[in-house]
Amino acid sequence: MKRRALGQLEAEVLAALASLGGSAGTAELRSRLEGDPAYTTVNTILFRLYEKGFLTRARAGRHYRYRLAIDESEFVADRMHDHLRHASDPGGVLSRFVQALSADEARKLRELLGREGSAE
Amino acid sequence: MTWFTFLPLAIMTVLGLVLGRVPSALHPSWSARLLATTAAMTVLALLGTCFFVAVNYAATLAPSAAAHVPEWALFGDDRPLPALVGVPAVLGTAACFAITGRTALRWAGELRGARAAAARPLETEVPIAVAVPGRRGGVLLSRGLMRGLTPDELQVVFRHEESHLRHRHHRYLAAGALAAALLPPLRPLRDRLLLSVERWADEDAAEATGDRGLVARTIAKVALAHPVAPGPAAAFAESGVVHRVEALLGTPPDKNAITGPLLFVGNGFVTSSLTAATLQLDHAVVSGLLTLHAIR
Repeated sequence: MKRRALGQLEAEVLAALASLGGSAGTAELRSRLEGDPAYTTVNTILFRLYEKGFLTRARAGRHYRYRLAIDESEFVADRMHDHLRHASDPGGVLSRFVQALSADEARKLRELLGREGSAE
Repeated sequence: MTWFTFLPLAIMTVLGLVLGRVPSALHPSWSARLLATTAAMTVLALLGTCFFVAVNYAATLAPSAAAHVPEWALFGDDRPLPALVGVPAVLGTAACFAITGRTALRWAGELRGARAAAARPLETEVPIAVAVPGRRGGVLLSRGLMRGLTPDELQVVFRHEESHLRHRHHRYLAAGALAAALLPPLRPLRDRLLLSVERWADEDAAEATGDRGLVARTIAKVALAHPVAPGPAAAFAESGVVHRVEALLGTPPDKNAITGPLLFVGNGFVTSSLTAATLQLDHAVVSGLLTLHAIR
């Protein structure tokens, strides 16, 4: 089996889990993964994802059944954000069109727009 | 060495502190230039002061080696430098170079990542637009932004990012970021520089589209489509969006066609003279003139 970066295998496991309806056991997942990774490898990845909070698990007989804790699209967006975190970081050289607002700023902004709308 | 050795750096730091705290009435393009020059010159002055004090301390420790150091690099008063000043200068120089190197590496990583990601739209519903400088750069957009905005609003985003790229705003940000990393009290200067650069691009977008209200509404729309930053509001630095929208809803700022360049040149002259003094350039010039004189 060709070796893959851990992050990639994690992403593949998440994708496979999503395609199985968001919940599966280790053996079931393994059959869905390309390259026939070892049972223990899949288990390790699952455990790691569980530790990171991407999965929840429940005991089913002698094994665990894993369930997606969050929506997969959210996960992808999260990773992208992680990647782009620097763009909103004041120490960086990339400038984002706008940064995320605090709740307070969002309220102020809505007020400002409301005032403009009523003036027109 | 006298206390005057540290005077230029002290003046520049105070200037940086004041500029960071007092809002400028200038057009954002001029205040950005002013702030970036001050930041860059302060960085140079800090490096120069630390480095040359360290060199002179080394000359005190090893007088025989000092003969190999060019005359102009030495303070010239032949007084030994106390370790109380020398040791911090050596450590400071090392720290400055380490921080500068680390920051530069970080930027390189950022740019590499962004250029790789800029090949196609980001698969996220969060509306994101980032100007990526460089030959292989461009504007990095997310699907959410393209789906959520009307063509007119997208025009605003493009004009804004284009302004960043055309005026090479990443260099301004680099100067501010480095100043803040080396001298943490200068963070307000960097934040103000960040805001000025954004305001500059906003004004360019407003001019290109001819509709300040549209630019203001687009910024607000994109900002409100972001998930609200979690945690208590006080823990987060102001993003500046409210200020930007407010400024766009008001009257356009004066172009400062005369005061802008005047202040910029004046500030440039003062800060570069002070920086030159920390780099011992005045000594270099004098020793150069003396040599010329001796040859004649």
